[in-house]
Amino acid sequence: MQYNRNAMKTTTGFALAVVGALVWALPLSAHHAFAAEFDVNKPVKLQGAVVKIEMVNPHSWIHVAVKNPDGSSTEWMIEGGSPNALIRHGFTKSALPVGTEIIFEGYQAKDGSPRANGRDITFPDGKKIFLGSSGPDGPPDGK
Amino acid sequence: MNRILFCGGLALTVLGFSLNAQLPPVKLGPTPNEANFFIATPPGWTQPKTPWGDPDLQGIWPISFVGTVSLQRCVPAFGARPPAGSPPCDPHKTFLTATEFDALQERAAKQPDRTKEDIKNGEAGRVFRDGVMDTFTPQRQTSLIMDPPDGKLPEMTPEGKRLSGLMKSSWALPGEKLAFDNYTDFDSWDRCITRGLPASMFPFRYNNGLQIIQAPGYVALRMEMIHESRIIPLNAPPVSPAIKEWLGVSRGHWDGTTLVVETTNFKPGASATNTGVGGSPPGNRFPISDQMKMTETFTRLNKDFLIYTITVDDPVVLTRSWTARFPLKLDNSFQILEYACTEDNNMIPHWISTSRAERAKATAGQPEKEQH
Repeated sequence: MQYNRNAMKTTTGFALAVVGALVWALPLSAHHAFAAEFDVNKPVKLQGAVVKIEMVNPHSWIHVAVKNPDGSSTEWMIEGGSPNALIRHGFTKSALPVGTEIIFEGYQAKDGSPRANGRDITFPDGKKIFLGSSGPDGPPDGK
Repeated sequence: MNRILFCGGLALTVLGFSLNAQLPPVKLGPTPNEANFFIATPPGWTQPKTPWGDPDLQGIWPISFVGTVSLQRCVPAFGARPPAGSPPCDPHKTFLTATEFDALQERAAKQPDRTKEDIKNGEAGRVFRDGVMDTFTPQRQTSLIMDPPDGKLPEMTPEGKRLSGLMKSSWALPGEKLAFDNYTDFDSWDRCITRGLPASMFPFRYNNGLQIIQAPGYVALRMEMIHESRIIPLNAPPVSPAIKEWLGVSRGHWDGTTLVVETTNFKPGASATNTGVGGSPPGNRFPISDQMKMTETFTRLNKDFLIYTITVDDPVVLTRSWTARFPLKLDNSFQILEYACTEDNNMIPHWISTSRAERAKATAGQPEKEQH
């Protein structure tokens, strides 16, 4: 599928601008209510390798294999935004290839399962590289 | 006595007529004004035609063009407050003045582009978490609803309120604590079935693609969100009232160069409004009945703009009709992506699991801490 680079020129910030200036003030989470699923009293910060990214609706999910102290591994799911909106701005599966080691911070699901609302994602060396900003048909970015 | 009844009936008839007054037709003109939403039609411009001679409306008209405008006037979206020092909202002011609009555009231009900055700074996690929104454009109109004159949804009938009380959704009403045990505790949008109508024709924060496709005898409206398409036969006979569809059954015709679409045969269940549309009622519990009739018009003003009008009449639910009208801008660079949803919708099992865990914890004497 050809990615429309013109669409990338659109500015979401402009939307926020209008939001602030007119009547909209969008919550940071651009989808369903955080409090219905995640627990603000259960912050987590974990490191693991990306297993897969589900670009599915209504919410995307990054699966990460997190090693436990006993040597076993637990697969965590990190929730993200709607895929189409992410893809339009260049966030595709190639943004975080399988095997990429990441540190994610967020809040765990209220039912105690290994699921979290992603608050921040960084790389172990501290770098923050947005690999997908050019889209699938563009040159790699962030070099 | 008969005279009193007659006069009363006449008064009610007149009142009823005035309460359901339609907006005047869209008026094209070379001078920007409120009647054409400040979008001029160049002198001598003629409506393009399809190879088979119909007025040509084809292309992508993202609804996000009016994404900053609240559905209802003076009902701020998502609890937002107007800039400090703003005068009280005037419920009968339908458009900003030129000065106010200039100031709005200036403020908008000065706002930082948060997503662009996040991408530039490599904040993949933040972008992933927040999602991103479609591009919105400042507008002069102060609400999408233009009739009733105060820009508000009309009152529901007692039956409408009763039906509303029976509806379920993951979107809570103010102060409401919801519990989920079954898929029936969710609305049609939660379940990725449909946003329903008229809700699907209004802007959301993202996935606002709306494409008009024409073929001889047909117009199709391809809607990105929930990947639905409305197939509209032109000049076709009505179907049996026994046929009920989530999006109703539409019939279209041309009134000059204006496309008129009338839709009936609705299957009740979806909410008429969607809480994700700014300035909408909370809770996704605005019912529709199988008696709802929706009338839409698409009037092209020039090569880049059309004006869309939608009138909703539901004698079971509404005490009067309501009409929204807004411009759409052609943007064929907006790529409509697939919006597969139902088969991978993790939300329903996750939320049921969470809700059960919360209640089990409460039963065990560990009340859930208040969330903020």
